[in-house]
Amino acid sequence: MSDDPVIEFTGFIKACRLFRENRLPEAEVVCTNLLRKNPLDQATWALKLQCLSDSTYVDELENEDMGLAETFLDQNVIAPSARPGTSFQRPKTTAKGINPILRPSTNAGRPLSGVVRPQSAFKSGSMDQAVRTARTAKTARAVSSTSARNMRLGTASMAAGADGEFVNLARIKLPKYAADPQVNRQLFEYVFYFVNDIKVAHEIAGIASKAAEFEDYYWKNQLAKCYLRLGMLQDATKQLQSSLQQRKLIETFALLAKTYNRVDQPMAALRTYAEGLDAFSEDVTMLTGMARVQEALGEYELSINFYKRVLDAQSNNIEAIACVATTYYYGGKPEIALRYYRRILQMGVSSPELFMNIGLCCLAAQQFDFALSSIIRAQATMTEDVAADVWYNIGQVMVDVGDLPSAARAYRLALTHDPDHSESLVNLGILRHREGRTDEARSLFGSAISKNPLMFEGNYNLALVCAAQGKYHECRRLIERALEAFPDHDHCKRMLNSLKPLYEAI
Amino acid sequence: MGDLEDGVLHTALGELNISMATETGEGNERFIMAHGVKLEEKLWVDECYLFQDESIAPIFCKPKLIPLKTITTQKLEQMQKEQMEKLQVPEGKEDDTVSVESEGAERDDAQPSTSETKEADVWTADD
Repeated sequence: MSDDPVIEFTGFIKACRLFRENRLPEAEVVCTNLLRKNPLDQATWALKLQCLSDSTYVDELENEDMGLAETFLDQNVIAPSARPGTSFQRPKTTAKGINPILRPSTNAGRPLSGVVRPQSAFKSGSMDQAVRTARTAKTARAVSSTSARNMRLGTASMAAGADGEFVNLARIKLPKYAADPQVNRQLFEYVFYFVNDIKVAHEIAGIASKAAEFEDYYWKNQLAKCYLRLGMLQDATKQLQSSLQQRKLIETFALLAKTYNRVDQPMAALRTYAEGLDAFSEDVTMLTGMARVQEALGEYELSINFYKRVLDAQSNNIEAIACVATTYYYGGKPEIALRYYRRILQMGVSSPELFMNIGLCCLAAQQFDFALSSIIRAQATMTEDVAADVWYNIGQVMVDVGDLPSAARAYRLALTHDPDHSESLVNLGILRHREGRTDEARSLFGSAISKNPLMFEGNYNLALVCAAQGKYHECRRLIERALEAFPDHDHCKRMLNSLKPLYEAI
Repeated sequence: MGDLEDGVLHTALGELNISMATETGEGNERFIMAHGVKLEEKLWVDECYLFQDESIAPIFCKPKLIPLKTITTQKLEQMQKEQMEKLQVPEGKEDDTVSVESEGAERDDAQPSTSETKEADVWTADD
């Protein structure tokens, strides 16, 4: 065996093999050398384009990063005053809906989910609030472009390359290359994913689609992706529907549903997913999409059922496990949630978030020894972006233990990591109020509300302080805001009723 | 306020009356119970204490399970980090254009540093 000559690939074959082994930077170097020798080698050129675009590839289905302008200034919503339950803006507020006391909400006012998704599309609150919120690691949100993050990635990769831009898009003969089926896909992906010049990408897709006599579903999907990025949602829908008539693809169904979500039509999105499920039974993408929509609508039962179906099909789906676990935890079954989180741990994920969650589940399930070690582990490994949440939860543990001074310290540490952490502000305010420092408590509650106006606890607690101080008018205003967040809260209703005679007496 | 609490009291008493009615009205059922087939707990009005007062206390925010990161989020963050690192390297080469751009990008992107460098003093005298 040892006498056999070692076969060493050279040239284009080597680049191809490196590419297939996903060693993209090495493949790119080989391609660059080949292109220096022969700049007109189209195969190498296409391969290098592929290498570059693969290095910055992001699944377009999952990529829902939106800028402020798209979130708050868009005019795409078809029905601005929708019936409850048919819009992300107006989830059902019945008894089985969101109970903000049981399940906390994010700073944007969405109920907390098991996983972070770049899904700020489902806005809540006002532009005013979003602008006022300080920009930190977590809230950094680009003001304008949809693809702000990608745009920056593109610029960065340009700047890093010593030779400058690989393809000069301004000088390239687009009609020639975009119509050439040998290279146009690579060129498109390069422009779309690497350069992030969506206008040029759209032009390429348009020319290519025309060259394929409008019969290639691939190009229709790519055109739709461009329209989605450019915010032209109607055109995206048209392209996707026409693509579906040609050929049913999972990606097409998912993109179509995404488009419906963007125009705030969750029912249409659910219908699209259901059609997708008819064509591809028990498909994970479709089921996950349905589960997400149901969750955003506050239908946790339905959402969990979909996630369970996901888990039947794909038992290592972390998103599904985490979402099921979260719902169990807030449904008062922390032991079961613990089992789900432990399953994620078994699969080899060991992030500080996970350890913190396991710690919280253990604590709620009375397994104190393991709770403590998990929380210590989370604290030791935490990164800056979760530090505030970790400290906040440590504060909760301290409150449960009864060590209130330490709890107050933990909350303040959370606030140094994230000055906008409204939950910490509220809980610190309660502790201050207990100490009799009412003014400090008032200002803490007040700043919590200014960070997150939709928050139930902040409004309610400040209302209590106001009522105790005799500031009934302010109290009534706050109670009304609290009732917006949680319309069925009994104490709020009672307080409102007790305030009514004061107004009538005048 | 008083009305609601009275309502609660009435329903509680109502339930008790019903349970008493079954107790006295249907002797057969009780007989079966004596054989241990079916056990029921009965509450009598004069054996109970009914507390009406309830204080309104501030509501704590609940423990917050931290959302895990999806693969896409992780990948985006990773890519962004890598690109930032790539940008940091040419800065040393004193390449004017690149360093200007990278500074611009840094200012734009390194917003988190506001929360890192800001050394807020959380300890106060009374702790």
